[in-house]
Amino acid sequence: MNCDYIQEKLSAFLDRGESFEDADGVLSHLYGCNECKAFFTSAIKLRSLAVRDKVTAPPELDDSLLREVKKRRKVNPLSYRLRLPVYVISAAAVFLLVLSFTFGYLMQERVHQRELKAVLQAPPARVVYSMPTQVVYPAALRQQ
Amino acid sequence: MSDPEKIGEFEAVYNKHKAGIYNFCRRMLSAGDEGKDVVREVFLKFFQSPASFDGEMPVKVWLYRSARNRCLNIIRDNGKLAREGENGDEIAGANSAADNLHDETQIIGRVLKRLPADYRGILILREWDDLSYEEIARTLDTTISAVKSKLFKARKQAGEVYRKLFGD
Repeated sequence: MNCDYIQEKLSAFLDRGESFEDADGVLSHLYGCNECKAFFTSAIKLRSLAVRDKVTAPPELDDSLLREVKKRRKVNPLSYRLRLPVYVISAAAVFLLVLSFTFGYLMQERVHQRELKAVLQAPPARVVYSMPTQVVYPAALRQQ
Repeated sequence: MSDPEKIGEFEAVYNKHKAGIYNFCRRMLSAGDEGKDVVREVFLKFFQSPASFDGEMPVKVWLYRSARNRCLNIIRDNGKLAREGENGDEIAGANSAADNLHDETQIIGRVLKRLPADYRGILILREWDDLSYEEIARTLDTTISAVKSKLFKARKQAGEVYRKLFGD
């Protein structure tokens, strides 16, 4: 077992706290290897420093950020966006389409009925008969 | 959702994650004000653009990923990455100063400052913010085995830096 292999195992052990697959081999190597011991010690030291180094976010950050958020939230009424689920919008579109077809059909029927009524109510047509006219050409044209 | 509901939901998310995100940014950038600015940016982005939050990713992962990306951009822009590794003179003088350095915050700050940004990031996510391997993998957009391997390398390098600076 080389040192990189052992140190990678130790690193994973630090993160997950799991037991080693080959605990005896790793521990016996660690016991006799100064390099791996130094790695493990420094990794633990780094962790303890990190735990103590954690800080909370400064309160002024909270104030400025939440103020900024509320300011940006004031939307222009002209740029209002409709927030509806897609299925509601789809249903509304289909409804409008059906409504427009129905309305068009009804209007067409109504126009037809009005035209028919106009025809039926119109006075009966009178046929005027007349005699055919005879054209009398001058003598010169008559020869041609 | 009405405005008060939306703001209330935002406040709940903010109160739950603010300390973790603040610690992450503070330690990534080693500067309090920059860290605060990033926290503000991240939470405002979360509040303003729900489109960038697809819902499949947990809020926690989304916030950490966003904070990490922003911190890395700042580090790159400030040229801090270029300064990483240029610590020969400071290390030489650090041992003599170590006796006076009682403040653990400064110790850990010095160690982290000398790590590459990706090692620093993964260590902070694990040690400061207690993210699981899976959460770290999703934050970094990588695999769990890659997280394990990188954490080991980051710890190894952090240990070496610590020993160089402050002895055993």
